[in-house]
Amino acid sequence: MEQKYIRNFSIIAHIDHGKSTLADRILELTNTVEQRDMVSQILDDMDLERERGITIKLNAVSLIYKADDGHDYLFHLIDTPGHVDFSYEVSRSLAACEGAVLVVDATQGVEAQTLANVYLAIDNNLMVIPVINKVDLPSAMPEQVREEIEHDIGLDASDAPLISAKTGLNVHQVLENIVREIPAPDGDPKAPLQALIFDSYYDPYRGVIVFVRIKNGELKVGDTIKFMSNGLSYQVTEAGIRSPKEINKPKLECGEVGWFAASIKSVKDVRVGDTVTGAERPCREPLPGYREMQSMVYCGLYPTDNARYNDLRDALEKLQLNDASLKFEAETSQALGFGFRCGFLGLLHMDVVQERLEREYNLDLIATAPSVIYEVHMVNGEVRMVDNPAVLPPNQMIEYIAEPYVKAAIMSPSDYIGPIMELCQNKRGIYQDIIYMDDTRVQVVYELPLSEIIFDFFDKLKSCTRGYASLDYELIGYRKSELSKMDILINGEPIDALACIVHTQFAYQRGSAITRKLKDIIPKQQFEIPVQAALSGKVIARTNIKAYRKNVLAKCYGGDVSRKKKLLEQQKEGKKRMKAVGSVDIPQEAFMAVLSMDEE
Amino acid sequence: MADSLYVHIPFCRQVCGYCDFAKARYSETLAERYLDELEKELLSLPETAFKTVYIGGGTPSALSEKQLERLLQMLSRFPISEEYTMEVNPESLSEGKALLMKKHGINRVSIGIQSFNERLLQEMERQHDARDITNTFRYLDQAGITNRSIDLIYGFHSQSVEDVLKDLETAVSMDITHVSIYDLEVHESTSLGRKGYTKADEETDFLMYQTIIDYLNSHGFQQYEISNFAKAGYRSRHNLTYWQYRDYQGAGLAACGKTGNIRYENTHNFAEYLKGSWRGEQITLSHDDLIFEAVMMGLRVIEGIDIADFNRRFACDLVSKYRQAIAENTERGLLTLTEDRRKVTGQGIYVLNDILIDFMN
Repeated sequence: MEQKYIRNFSIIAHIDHGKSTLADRILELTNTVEQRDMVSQILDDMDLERERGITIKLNAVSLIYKADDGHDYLFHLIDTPGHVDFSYEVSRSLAACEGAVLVVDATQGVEAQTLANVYLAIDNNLMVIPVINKVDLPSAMPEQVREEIEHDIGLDASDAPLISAKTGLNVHQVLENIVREIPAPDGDPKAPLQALIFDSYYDPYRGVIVFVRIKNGELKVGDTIKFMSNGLSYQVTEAGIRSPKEINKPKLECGEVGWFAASIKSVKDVRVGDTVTGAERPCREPLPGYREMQSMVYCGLYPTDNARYNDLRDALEKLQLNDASLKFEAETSQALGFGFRCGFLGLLHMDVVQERLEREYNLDLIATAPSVIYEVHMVNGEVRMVDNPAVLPPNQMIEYIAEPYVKAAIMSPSDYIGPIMELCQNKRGIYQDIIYMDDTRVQVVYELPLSEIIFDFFDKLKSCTRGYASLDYELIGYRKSELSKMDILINGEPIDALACIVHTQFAYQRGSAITRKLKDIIPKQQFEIPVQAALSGKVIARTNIKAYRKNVLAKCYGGDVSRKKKLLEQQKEGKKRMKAVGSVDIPQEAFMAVLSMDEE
Repeated sequence: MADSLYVHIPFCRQVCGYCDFAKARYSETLAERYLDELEKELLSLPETAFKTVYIGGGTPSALSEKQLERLLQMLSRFPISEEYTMEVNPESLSEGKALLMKKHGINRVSIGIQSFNERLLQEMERQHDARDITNTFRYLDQAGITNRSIDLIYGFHSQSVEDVLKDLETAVSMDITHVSIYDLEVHESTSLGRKGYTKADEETDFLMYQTIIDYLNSHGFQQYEISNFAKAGYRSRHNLTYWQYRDYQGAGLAACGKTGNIRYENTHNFAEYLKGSWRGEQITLSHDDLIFEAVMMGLRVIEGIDIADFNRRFACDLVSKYRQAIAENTERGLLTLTEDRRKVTGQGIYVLNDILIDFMN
């Protein structure tokens, strides 16, 4: 296909605004997928994604569209995930495109995520073409939404098609706008190969399948290619596009989006954002924007049943085949037994991995509270990196502790500056700047400890800005902080999995909040249980969980046997979801309690 | 053959706020049709002797005299060797009914008193008052039915430990042989449940229970099960059938029975029962089910489980099968193991569920 007939684009939208439905409709209209083969929302192929309505794994589909001008166009539709944890992946997917279709729900209007993704697209120099969806609903307000797009985002929406992705109304117009407004790719087919990796997955028979956008040159089966970040070379065994079924091609041409296989053993070698070039005739420079994948958040994962440790390891290994950003290594906890310390991109990533382990591998897990990596400067001059508060050396051996800081850029309508600043101050933020993008939009910049934003910062930010703010952050390095390890003792025993690192100034407050929270979470047991928080062995807060007095069925006669046995089975199930630590049964939520600081 | 027969009469003059049994407001025609069906069901049982028969409800005494006579007549084809109990409620027993009961060999009654406190009776939506209770005892005296049990309930939100003591004081002063006293359970499906009724707080409730045990044990009523107390020689033999996990038959709406490793439960649906499809479900119990259920029922009895008898009946070795659960709970002081009996200790009966969960392997 001649380059001028290629269009590479993404669809960006807020959750539930109809991104996947529009993708389905486009596939149907271009006869890429026969109607009868149509599984609704074909791009999201993991159950979990479909259930949560979010896209985690990126995917790309190629399709042929016969435009009104009589020419056939080759469209590459690249799907993007939609959460701040994955903003780097989103930006790399967008970097593989020249344009983006922005879907806005005519009943909901412009929402936070819409803004966040539009700015990412604009940052990547994409042509953004808005469409207004769900105009068939009685509560649709298309004209008001058109105005919002112009006013809140600053895009020209006068030509935005009014569509219903559900019924297919005016979707044809969207396709025409793609042809007319999104520029064709402009690479040099004669130049050395330069391709951007935006996704990959592991295929047990062919090794890693790498998704790329050819920026310059071409990629042929049989070529030896090289990844520029790590210098590894492989011979291409297969290449092609997806429609959405795989179609093999002898080569991927300049401007195209497609996949290749090269007997690559591990997804770890294939890094999103990396540049693929020819081993014989390499390009001079890698494509800009590559970042090393970094685990931002760590937590311990333990099977509730210690006998399933090996199952958990197998499951993590399998997940890692397809998820290079998941890291894990074995660790032991006095309280929880044998488990793994796992590293994640962020909290959503952590949730998703945990949920997949429980659902796909049928494991009951205890997750400890997420932690960042602390830089511990010892009195003897040694520096240790600690990702688990439980293994922090004793206080007297520590000179000081440094924690990771991020520079957070919060984009929001200007009305919410007050609440945003208040939130950042409460999270130990250091004010940097407020940039007025135009008369309605601002960017608020703060430096914040990463530990303060990994838990509920994003949720709080959304609630204090009615969902309008978007967040992007990048690591800016380590800074010395007044930090100290806080032990939590249950029934007099320090529980290693509950230890946390706190800022000394907030220790008392957090200690009492945590002990109170644990008192609510840990169910009454046969004996009274003290819950204490301690800094360097000194108790700073305490509550007691009262013993329950009775757990017996008052009535049990001939007609009650089945019913009463079920009641006992329910009680037993309840216990199974808990971890017996010493003689106390502790439910999963307790291990997250150290993070929840809301209740004063 | 089964030792015992349970017959369910699902009618009440008034439905109580706490009750979650299968029952309906009494209506003469409905009761008539019900007895027609019950008769067929009873006729389907082989004509055998039972050690005990128990007519429960609902309120069997809610039936009219004529209907009651018909019911007792139906049951007369089963010789009853030991104990023949009927539940009665103070508001619906009459002299005529008491005489009928006596005539047909009923030798034990269980009286649904629930409380002597009028305010609490109102709270639980009961219809009877003190006068009804006095009358009930007079009718039973006249009929000469002297083996009498009363049902009481404690654990109401507005009830104090003193209120419980007053009920107990009244109870032991009466001419009775047996007390069943239950901790109030608020089920969602009941009127109290729908009102969102909260019961007494846990501490008070616990103190009430301990008080009850102390009081009754020292006033001639020996506790022999979690909620049951009897004068010497007056334990409920029928209920011991359940707790010793022996076989029993059930007839009537929602009635249950067990024969060997088969347990059945009749339908809870009135319309279905009246159409003649009595049987709801029937399940076959595995050997492990049988053993666990026998433990679950057996540990309710204060004397405990007779291990030799248990091992013989269930062809197992109880002590080695549950070695760990037994060791852990003995360690905690919740179980004791004597030569041939395993019993829950004084502390153990309060947390019997926890003990049983350990037995659920």
